This record gives sequence, structure tokens and C-alpha cells, in this order.
Amino acid sequence: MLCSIIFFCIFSFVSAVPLQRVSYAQPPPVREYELKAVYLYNFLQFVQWPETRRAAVKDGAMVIGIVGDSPFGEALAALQADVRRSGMRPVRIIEYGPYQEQMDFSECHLLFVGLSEKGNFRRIIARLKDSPVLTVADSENFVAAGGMISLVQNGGKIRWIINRAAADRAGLRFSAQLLSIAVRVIE
Amino acid sequence: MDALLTTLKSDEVAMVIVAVRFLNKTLSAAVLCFLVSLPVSGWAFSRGDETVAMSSLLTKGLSELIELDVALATGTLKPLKLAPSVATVITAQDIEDMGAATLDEVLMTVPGLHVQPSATNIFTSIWTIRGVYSQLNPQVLLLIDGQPLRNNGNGNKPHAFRLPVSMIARIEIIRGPGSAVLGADAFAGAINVITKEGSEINGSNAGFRGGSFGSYDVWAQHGGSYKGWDVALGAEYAKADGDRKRIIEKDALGAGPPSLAPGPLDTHYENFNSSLNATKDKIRLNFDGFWKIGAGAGAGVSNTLNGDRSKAEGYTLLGSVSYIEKDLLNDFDLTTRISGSYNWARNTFYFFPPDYRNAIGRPGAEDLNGGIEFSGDYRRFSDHRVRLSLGASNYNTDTFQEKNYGPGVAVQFGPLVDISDTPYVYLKDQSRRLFYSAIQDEWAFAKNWELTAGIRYDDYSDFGNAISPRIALVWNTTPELVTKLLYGRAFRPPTFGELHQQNNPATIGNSHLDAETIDTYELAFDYRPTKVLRFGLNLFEYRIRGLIDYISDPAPATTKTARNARDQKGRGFEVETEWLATEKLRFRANVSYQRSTDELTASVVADVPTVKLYANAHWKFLPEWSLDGQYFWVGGRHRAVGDTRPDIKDYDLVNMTLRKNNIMKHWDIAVAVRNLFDTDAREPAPAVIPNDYPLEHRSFWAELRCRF
Repeated sequence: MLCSIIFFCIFSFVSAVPLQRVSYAQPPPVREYELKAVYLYNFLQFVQWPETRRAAVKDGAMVIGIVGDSPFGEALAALQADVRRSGMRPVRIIEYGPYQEQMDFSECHLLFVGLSEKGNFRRIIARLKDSPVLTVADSENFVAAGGMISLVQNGGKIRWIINRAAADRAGLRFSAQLLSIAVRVIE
Repeated sequence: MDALLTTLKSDEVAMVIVAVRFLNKTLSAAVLCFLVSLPVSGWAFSRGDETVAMSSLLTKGLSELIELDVALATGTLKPLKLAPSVATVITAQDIEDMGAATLDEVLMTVPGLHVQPSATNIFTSIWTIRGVYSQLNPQVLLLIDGQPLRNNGNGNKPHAFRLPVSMIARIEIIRGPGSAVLGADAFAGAINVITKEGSEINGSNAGFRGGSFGSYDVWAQHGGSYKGWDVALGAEYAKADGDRKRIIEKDALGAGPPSLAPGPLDTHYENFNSSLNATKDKIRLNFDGFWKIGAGAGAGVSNTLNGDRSKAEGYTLLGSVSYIEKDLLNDFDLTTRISGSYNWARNTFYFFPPDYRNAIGRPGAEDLNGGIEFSGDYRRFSDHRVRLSLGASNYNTDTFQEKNYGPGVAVQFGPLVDISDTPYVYLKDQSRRLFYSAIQDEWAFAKNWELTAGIRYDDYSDFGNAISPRIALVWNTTPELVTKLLYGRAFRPPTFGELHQQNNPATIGNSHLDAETIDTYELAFDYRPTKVLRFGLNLFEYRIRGLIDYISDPAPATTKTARNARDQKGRGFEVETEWLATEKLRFRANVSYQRSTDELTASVVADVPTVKLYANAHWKFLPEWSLDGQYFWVGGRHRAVGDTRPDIKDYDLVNMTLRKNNIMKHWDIAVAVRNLFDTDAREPAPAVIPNDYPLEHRSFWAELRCRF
């Protein structure tokens, strides 16, 4: 009985702490493609394009292209809006749809290749012909096929593999931070 | 289903009666009710979306972003509330908050699960889930990183098993049947312990904990990245004399000479555990070692104090290699897993006190198991996710034994004689092969509805086969409420001991045994009215067929033979709640009720709690400081038919933990008290120990940890 009373006292005491508006102490999980959209935006900040490419940008906006089925849902639109609202460097999204031979990706800083184009990884990379476009996909096979960044799951978290050789050929330079956090760097 | 709901109503009435008795009994229950019934209005919370807002992600640095946990759109990982089973996940942070030192202490907080010592199995903990209770406890599957940890001989976890928590990243506990996915022994439930990865440890740390009963733990861990490998290493050494005040007043020889009673239970232990995980790209390696240098046998294997001479020794090694090939074919991922385990165990039993009869038995076994499993995920169809598994395992057990009594021994009660590989050994060498295949489909057949249906077929070379279906309907009823309706069948194969045990004066194996099976229906609700409040309600009903028990042979034989003798049914519920009252104050509580009966005799399953309550408050009262309080109440434990003792006394326990992190730059410190009010709490013992087994008295510990 004594223990119960004392425990009651402890409970009452701690319960008396003023209640505030709060959220979970441990952060709730992030939606996969919202995080990936933010990654894409971050990649734009942590990669250096050749001088020639930079001059070509008209409105100062960075361009993200999506070829194949987009897994992002509303995430890219939300990213665009959030970026604009917070006065960060604007971003433009081009959805190309399913890959076709005549497509021109030269406008893009970053091209995200959807998993629906898995069969076309090599063709798309060949099409870009080492032009300064950062190529990103969700599949580990992408870097093996000559792509630059593969997003991978690592213990419930999202990380990336970098193909530095491919980026070098295209004249893109990764920041040291991007390289150091990568799960693996193919030199 | 209607029948299930109606019958549960009568149980709810019973629960109310129990609860009323309970309210009279302790004031703390009132506190809990107060917590549970707190009005949820009055605080303004945004509803629905449980994930982090995108704008907050944009402000984070890359190094912060990569640490975020992801609710994966694909993959079998799902938010817990949508999982097609009734599950509890406890993270390393939860464990640190509650100040638990062992897996047992963590499991005590899980609704529907009770931890108590075994009367016949060297005082090994029994994990009783929802009233499924047996001395050897093979009905709960323990997995370490997905690999079973059990003795082949009796299907149980290693004798006197004690798992420290330093290397645990999280523990997933499934209550209810898991055989459709996990196969054998996921019967009453399954406990999967997942060890830390290198990125979770991220550097090195070491710790020391010392406390009452001569106990201390020392551990060290390291995690990092080497040539693309994410590597985690950990080791922990633990030793204790045990509480020498856990006195039993009488044992099987009575009280006073020749008995050593009244005298203390022998609960000393000395363990060394180690773990190595390495991950690179598609490959994952897990190695875990459990070395039991020595452990006491409680009241002794014959419930006769023996002067602390009996002991259990053993070591177990688990290893597995997984290779994950994503997109092997279009939309097909293949995981190949090769696993092996080695287990050596030897128990030395002194059956009686030194001045009585000098009967010594030293049985042992060496298990060597190996297996390969292929599992493929096919996600070609947008609203289906199909998983196929195919596997084979091989189990081998070599037994050995020394003893100084019985057949095969020339001088009775003289020196120990090695009777390994003779007809007199307790169990001949055994082996069995298992082939299995399973298929499961997760079908999102309508908006907010998902149906998971699966079936697994296990074919054993020695006793036969088992078919384990399951079906789960998960309905996102409203943004705040998830409703689940679940059915599953699980099985437990007879163990080598149950099939072939011999030369035992009391119990004999039976090679004609079948598997035990359990059919379980569950209805579960997860309700999150606000971002800071969660309720869970699980209703269950199960029916077990063919529980294996040792039944007396016809006279004049005095032996008992294993038979699929008993059927059991049970039902009950669990209520869980969590409330984040403020940023600094968190409450958790759960209440479990179960009523299980033997179908033939209609008698209530003895020795297990009918009602269990757990309440927890965690308060970060200053930056880096936290105070944690735990309250346990265990009650409604009945005696077996024919046992004339009054029912086992209910008990409550209070634990407190005070922690200060970053006391200097890299140092954390904690102090704790267990059983704060020194309650005389008891767990059931057989009638030869009339006053039951006392639990540990009040104890203290202090812990120091350093990160570098």
C-alpha cells in the first residue's frame, strides 16, 4: 500500500508539469519520396556544373527532369512551393513521361530515371553522351549501368552510391560532403 | 466472428469484476484510470498526417537527413499500426529510458506477456504469452537477427538464458501466431531481437554497471565504415552472485536436515556475449555468440536445494549471410540467406544436499544446424505484393551424459560414469531435415483496405508436416483509426526430447507425436485521436489442439509418456495507451486480461496471471536529465487442480531510474532502484515448495557510459 501511495505521489507530481503543445519526442518517420525529393534538391546544391552549363540557365532556376513513371506523387510540387516560399534557389520540374529516342534532356541539371525505365538505363545514359546532367535513379543497378547516383535503402534510412567516374566524364564535381556520406563511391 | 465478440463481452464483465477488486486493492490503478480517461480535448493538434513536413526537411543538413527513418513506400517494412499482426516494437531508446538491463526486463513491459521462472528447467525464464504456459516454453520463438536461438533437444531457448541489452537496436514482439511467415514455434508469439548496425553505434562506446547482489556488467562497442563495409562489433561480460535472500522455506525434502531449506535459491550467473554485423551493398553478415560460463539452477532440478553445486554451462554461435539482389528480373527482388548455428550445453545436476544421497547427473548436447532460404518479392502489379519463400534446414543433435546412478552405472552414487553413446543415455543422437515453402500476397484491394493472405507448408523428415495459413484484413477506418481482423494458424513440432527421450525414471518420449497447433482470431484497433495520444485494443480468442504433455502409463509402470494429450482454449484482451503529455513527459500503460482453460477438465490454466498491468512515466525534468518510473501489477494466478494451496498472492513492483546524459562531454551516468518498496513478490512453484519462489528483493545499480 505504501508503495502505491508513493508511486501515486510521483505520478501526480510529474503530471502537474504544465501541459504544452507538443509533438512526439522521437521524430516520426519521413515519407520516402518526400525525403528523396529533398535529396534531389540537396544534390543540386552539392554538385558543381561546368561554367558553360551554368551560363545557360535563364531564370536562375535549377531544372529537375523526370523520365519514366514518377514515384514522387505530390512531393516535387511541394518541394517547388516550399523552395519558393522560403526564398531558396528556385527549381523547375519537367516530367518527360516514358522514354523515347528523340527526347532532349539537355535542359536538365538533374535527370531522375524512374524504375519503369529500368530496361532503358543504358540507352538513356548513352543518349546523354557525357553531357553535364546529373543522373539519379532508385536502383542499385543504375550506377553499374553508368548512371551517377543510385539511391539505396540502408537500415531503414536512405543513402546513395556515387559513380564518380561517370560524373568526371560529364565534367560534374561532387562536394566532399556528398562523397563522404555516400555508402560507396565508384572511382 | 459474432460469436467471438459475444463471448468476449462476458469476459469484459469478468474483467470489470477483476478491475473493481483491483481498484479496491491499490490506489495506483486509479492513477492509471485517470491517465487513460483524461479528456483529449483542450490541446490543439494538427490531425492526420503523421510524417514530417517537407519544409522542415529543407532546413536540415545532409548529415541530418541521412539519419531520418523512412516509412518505406515499398518493402515489407510498414508503419507498425498497419502491420498485419498484433505487434510491439521496443527500441534501444525505450530500453535506455526504462533502465532495463536484460531482455527479460524489457519483455515484462509488453502487454499479454509475463516472465516467470521455470520450476523444472533450471530456473530459465518462461515467457508466457496470453496464457500459453509450459515449463519448457518452446511455444515462443526467439530470433536473433531473424535466426532462431533454441536447443534442438527441447525447443527452448538456452537454459538459464540471460541476454543483456547493450547490443540491441530494437525488439519486435509478435503476440499471436507467426508460423505462416516464421515457421515452427511461432505459436504463442515470436520475439525478434535485432542487433545494432555500425551506423547506429557510430564510433566507440563502453559502459560499466555495478550493483546489488554482486552484479556487474562491462561492455564495449564499435561501429564504423571500413572499405565500404558498415561494421558493428560489440561484447558484454556480466556476472552476479544472485540475491542470497531469496529464501525458500521448504523444498522437496521438507524443512530442516537433511534438507537445506530454509535456504537461498541459486541464481548466480556469469556470461559473455558478443556480436558482429557487417553490411556492404547487397551482402549482410550477422554473427552472435552467447557464452554461458556458468549459471545457478534456482531451487535445483528436483526442487531440492543442493548447496549451489548444480550449474548450467553452454555456448551458442549463430551466423548468417544474406545476399539481396534487387531487380533480379523485372520487379523481382531475391534474397538468399544461408545460416548456421552451433550450440553446446551441459548441465550438472546434484539432485540432493551434500549429506543426503549423492546422485549426480550431467546431461549435455551438441547441436549443429544449417539452412538455406530463398525469398523473392514480386511487385509487378501495383496493388499486389507477392512474396515467395523456399527453404531447407538440417538439424543434428549429438548427446552426451555422465551420471552416477541408474542403469549402466556399476557403482550406484559413486563416481560419475560416461554413458554417452551407450543404450543408457537419456537421448540417442538425432537429426531431422526440414523443407518448407511459403507464399504471401499483400493486396490493396480498395482504398484504405489491405488484405494479407499467406500459407506456409513445412515438411519434417521425422514426424510429418504442418500447414500454416494466415489471413489479415487491415482497414484504415478513418485517418485516426486502424481496424484489423486477423486469423492465423501456427504449429510447434515435437522436439527430439518429446519424440525420443529414454531411460528417464519419470518421462519417456513417444515417436508417434504430432505437432501442436493453435488457431487464433484477433480483432485489433489502433486509435490515435491526436499526435500525442494513442490507444490500442486487441481482442483475441485461440484454440490449441494436441498440446504435448507427459501422461501416466498404465500400472504397474510408474513412468509418464509424451502424448498430444491436451486441448486448450483461451480468450482475452489487451489495452495499450501512450500519451505525450508535454515535450518532457510521457506516459505509457497497458492492461492485459486472459482466461485460458483446459478443454477436457474445463479448469483454468494454472500459474499464469489472469490480469497484468504496466504503467510507466518518463520525465525529462531538466535538459539531459530524466527520471523514469515503472509500475507492475500481476494478479489472478490460480493453482492447478488438486493443489490445495490458496491462489498465488498478487504482487506489485516499482522500479525507478534516474539518468543524466553528457555529464561531462562524453559521459552518461544512471542510477536505478529495482523493487523500490522491497515487496515480497512470488512466482508459482510446485507444491513441494509451498510458499512459491520469491523474486529479487530491492536492489540498486549505477551505470557509467563513455562515448569516444
